[in-house]
Amino acid sequence: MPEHLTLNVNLQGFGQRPAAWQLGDRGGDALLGHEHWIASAKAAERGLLDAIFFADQPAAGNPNPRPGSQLEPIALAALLTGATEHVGVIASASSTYNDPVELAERLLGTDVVTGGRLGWNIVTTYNPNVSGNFGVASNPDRATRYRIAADFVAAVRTVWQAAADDGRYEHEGEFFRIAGTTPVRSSAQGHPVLFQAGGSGPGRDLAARVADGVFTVELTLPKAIRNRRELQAAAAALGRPGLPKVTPGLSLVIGSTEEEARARFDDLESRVPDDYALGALSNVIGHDARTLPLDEPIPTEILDAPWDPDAHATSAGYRLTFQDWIQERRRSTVREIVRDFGGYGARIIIGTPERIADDIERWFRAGAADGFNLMLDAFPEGLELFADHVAPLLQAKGIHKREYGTTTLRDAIGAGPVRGRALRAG
Amino acid sequence: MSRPPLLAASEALERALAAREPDALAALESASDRLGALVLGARPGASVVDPVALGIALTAQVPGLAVVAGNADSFGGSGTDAPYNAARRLLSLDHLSLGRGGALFAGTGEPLPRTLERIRVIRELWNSWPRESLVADVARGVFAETDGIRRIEHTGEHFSVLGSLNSPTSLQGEPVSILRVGSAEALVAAEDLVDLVVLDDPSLRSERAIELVPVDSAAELAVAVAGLAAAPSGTLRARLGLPERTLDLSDRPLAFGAARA
Repeated sequence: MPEHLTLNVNLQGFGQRPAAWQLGDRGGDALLGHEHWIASAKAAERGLLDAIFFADQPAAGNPNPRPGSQLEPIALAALLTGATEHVGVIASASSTYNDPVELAERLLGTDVVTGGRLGWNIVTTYNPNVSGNFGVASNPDRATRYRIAADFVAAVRTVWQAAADDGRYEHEGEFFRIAGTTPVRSSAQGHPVLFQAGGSGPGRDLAARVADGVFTVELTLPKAIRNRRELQAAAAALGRPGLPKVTPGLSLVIGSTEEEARARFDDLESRVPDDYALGALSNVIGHDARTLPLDEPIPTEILDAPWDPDAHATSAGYRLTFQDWIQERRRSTVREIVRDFGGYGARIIIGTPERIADDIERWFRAGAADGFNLMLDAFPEGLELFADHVAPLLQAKGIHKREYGTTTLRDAIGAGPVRGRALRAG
Repeated sequence: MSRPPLLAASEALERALAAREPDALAALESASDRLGALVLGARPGASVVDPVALGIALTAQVPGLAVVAGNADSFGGSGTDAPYNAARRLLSLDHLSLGRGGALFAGTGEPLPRTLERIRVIRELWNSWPRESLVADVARGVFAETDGIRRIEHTGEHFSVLGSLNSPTSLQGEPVSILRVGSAEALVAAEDLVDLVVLDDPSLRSERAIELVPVDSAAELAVAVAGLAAAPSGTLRARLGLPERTLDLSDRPLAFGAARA
């Protein structure tokens, strides 16, 4: 077990709950200015979080009932690091829909501006709405996307190595053949820290080989322990002990009493159409849940149907952990499952700071996680509650740092040194 | 009319600003209301820092700053980035500078027709989601009226881009667009396409021409704005005396249909 938790926050626009935009008098353009983002970043820094994480889809989604992100994550990283001193920012960018040299230079050229506080979450993009924005009919299948990703990352790292040397790079792989000279130079942390989020077999292979941190979805403790042990053993066998840091998603709704937290959750859910959560459930069970009777269990033939990883609009890792979780609820009704399924992609805790801190400690000490990717019901207030009421309890337990002792994201999460020769600037 | 100047930062000045050197930031802060905009990445292919990232970071430190990002088609000017990606980050710069963002297209590394089509696609994407749609109507549970959000369905010789952008129009409609032109052909093509041009050939003339004033240091920055009156406040378009600008996409299909009440 590491000494301290790795804590990131998944800063999902207005909040993790779909109706978060309805709280307070936020206005429709709140995500387009500074105030919302900087207040959230300052709360993250007050809670001594390691990084702010941004997922990304290079495609428009229907803004009702839940508005999506409206700003580009690397751009947001520049804003948030420009307004803070310590907290890192991890931006997702696709290895399927970028050019490796262009992205390598843009990431490193941004890392220099952040003072070495940038992370890159490598995503391969499964959203079927994306391909048409990039002139192709459909996304490559999962296996091909991960072969592209492996070559893409190798090309990016070649450019970053060149930035530490004389600038000249050359890479010839299965998909990318690049040669040239980069004007960009190494950052304070060498180059951006690598993260990965896919939980499929090829995704975990990539994580074991290159990632310093992974974003996972774990709904049950035993499976989380086993997955972390296996992933870190695979990385250790490749000479990367203690890596990657595993941070499962954790949705939180915080109240000063259990009743207050539950009432806050229920209020937010009551503002979203009934079929919204059913739609999310449909994606993981591979069946239109809106056709199912609400007060009966999900039929066995649906739960036990074989799963086609290319036919469903959800990530493989999420489907795998959901499979275990749903097995424990074979007798629950659809209505009950939808309510417990409130995480939309993460385990959810609705409760007091004490209960949340105890749960985090239990998972951390059990070896189920190096930390968590936190998802608060609404920003910035949910994160302010975490910083002011949960973080101090974690410090008292001795599992959360009491001050930032580092200046770069690489050092903050205890990531491995950069490969090869000394890459750090100045 | 005389426009407030566009000051093009040298690599040394960009590095100083990226490192948050106090004298560079102080000079920028005291000049920020008199310059038209700070241009970053103006030299094709020679940036150590990402122009969009530096521009946005500076808006967090120098309130009211207007920023034009050079190498707008792609970092390093190699013309390799997809228009959808470029459109997103340039519009993010415009949003986060509160309507004071611009894009300088260099068009290096690719033939002119491809650059022109790229700019056209980027501008269509910038205009695909009207900002007025963001009603945040809690009583009806409608965050955005979707009946103005259009798929651009662009299919051209060089690019095929179907969707709408995932970001609404900015406070100034769309970012100020500037193209470097080096030929009479490019100048003609730029006429209806961009707001302003930078003439790389001294024999060319244009009403839309604007000069980039190179500044190499905090001291030069102060000299460049010495004696100037404050520029008009508000958006970059207001500062430069440019009209509001939009593209009419009403012939394109709706992305989501109307919002459900």
